[in-house]
Amino acid sequence: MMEALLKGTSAWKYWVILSTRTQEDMAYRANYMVGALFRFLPLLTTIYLWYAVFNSPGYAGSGRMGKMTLPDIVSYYAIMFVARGFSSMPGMTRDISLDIKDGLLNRYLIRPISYFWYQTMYRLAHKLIFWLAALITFPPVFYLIREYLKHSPTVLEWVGFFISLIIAFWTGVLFSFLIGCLAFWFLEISTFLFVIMTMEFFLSGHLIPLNLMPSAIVHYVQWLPFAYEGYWPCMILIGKVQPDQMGTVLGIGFLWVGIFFVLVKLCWKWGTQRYSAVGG
Amino acid sequence: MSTIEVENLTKIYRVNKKKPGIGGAIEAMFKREYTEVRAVNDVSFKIEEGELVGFLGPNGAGKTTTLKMLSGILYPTSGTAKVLGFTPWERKNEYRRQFALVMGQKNQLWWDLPAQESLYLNKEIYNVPDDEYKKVLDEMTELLQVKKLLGVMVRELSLGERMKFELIASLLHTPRVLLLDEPTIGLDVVAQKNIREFIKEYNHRTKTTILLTSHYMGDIQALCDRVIIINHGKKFFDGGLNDIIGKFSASKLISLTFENGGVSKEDLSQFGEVLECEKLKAVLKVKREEVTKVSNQILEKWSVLDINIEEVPIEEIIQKVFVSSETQA
Repeated sequence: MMEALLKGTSAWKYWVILSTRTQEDMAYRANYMVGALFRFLPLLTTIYLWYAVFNSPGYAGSGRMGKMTLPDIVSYYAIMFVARGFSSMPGMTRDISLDIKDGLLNRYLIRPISYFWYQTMYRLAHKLIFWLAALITFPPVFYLIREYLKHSPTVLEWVGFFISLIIAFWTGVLFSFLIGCLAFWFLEISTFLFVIMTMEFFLSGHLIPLNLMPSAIVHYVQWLPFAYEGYWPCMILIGKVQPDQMGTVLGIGFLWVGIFFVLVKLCWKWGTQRYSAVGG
Repeated sequence: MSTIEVENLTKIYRVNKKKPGIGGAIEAMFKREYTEVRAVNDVSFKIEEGELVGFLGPNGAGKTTTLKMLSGILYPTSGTAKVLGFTPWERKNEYRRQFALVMGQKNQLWWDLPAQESLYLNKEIYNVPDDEYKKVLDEMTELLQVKKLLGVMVRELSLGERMKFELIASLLHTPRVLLLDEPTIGLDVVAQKNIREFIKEYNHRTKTTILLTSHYMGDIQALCDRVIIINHGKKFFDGGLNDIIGKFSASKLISLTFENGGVSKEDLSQFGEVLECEKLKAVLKVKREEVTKVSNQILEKWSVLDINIEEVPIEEIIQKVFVSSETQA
């Protein structure tokens, strides 16, 4: 089907990259199966931790923590897992920085291909594999926690959620690419990466929901691009975004994606001009 | 217009200079010293369509940097270059579809998949039509004897087999310009010979313009009529391989087989430098202009079964050229 649709267009070669990468990902069956089967474990442990917090003797017992109830929290993390499945790009920044540092970028620069789209397809293939496995392993997990999934999203919330997942994916790809490009200037960026990734983990709301922080901080932090990698998709689907807010939330998300696109283009242009192609 | 035109091409790298030891490392944390390295210095040359030119120089001479600029990987500090009428570092797809750069052992093959998948990917990247792909693939896998290996995982191939597939991957789109950087590095003599013959045949058949760097003089001798020599980033020589021999080799070698033994090293040393002297065989290094005279004298003095006059090995001459370029740099 894709052949009929894309062959002859410039998108076709990127489809072939995606398909080749998917095949490569599936070459190691045991690794793939273990990853597929146990991917949900961190979700279960996180839910268990919050369950323990809400049931601890020291807890006031109001059933709320800030604006969040236990069902809110469980739903939040379940959706966070889905959202991060779109926005997290494991290894992308590191791979790009190593390509630059070790001169492996050469092989892409000489071919009629965009390195950015190559990397994007490479990651998209990884995501496809992830979701293929998730389709099997997620339903039982969601079934187990079904009694906590209290909120029934409206049509607007569903639409907003799917749009927010697109924003999440692009924010993840563009931000990872941008940070990887820092290697054009600094060569060794592993420590820098660690700091940025930790910050991203926290500011995306992956560690704790952002709205549990003091409101003065939330007021600013929620509009940073990181919030679009997890926090906003969760908030939309658990019904914490009012219909009149939806446009603003998604609009700012798209604005960030646009800003990142421009920054990626500029960084690539300036970076490749100073690229020293060592070792390659 | 020439296929490759390089004019006053210069590339200066800024490199960090660190003092030795831990003290130097601490000092470098606060104060960095940089020094400029002229990897390519004011180099100019032209290469016509279909030429196969050897690009020679010792390590660090600037060969690879020049190739990287010609393939658009690097921006030059100054100077111009036109390949097929394009400025390489503008990286236009139209240009990138017409050239290929093969760097020894730097693979574009996907390790965890059979080579045929990477080749197919290249076909699509370069937009090669199906029938042409099939034809070129058939031809080249036949020529390089790797047809049976198309379905084998790349990580399970030998170095020589991988190099062959690298070449095929780079040539699928039948480039008009081929830049080869050490294509036989690390290969055994048989694989070297195979690759060499393939390049020669390919150049002959397709009239592709080829610029080749290699440390193996066997490659250069077998393939190139013309060579460009650079050292310390500067062009030092540009001309026929035979011209190098004429210009830099003042001697020839006379190999002798005597009918009877008894000719000593001392006897022969009056004619030139004695390189070998066994019971019945000897090799003499004699000044080029004295070869005829010395040969006659030896033939008159001893009973000689066989006499052979050869050029000094090209490696030795090139070594001399490099040393000579060192003193001029």
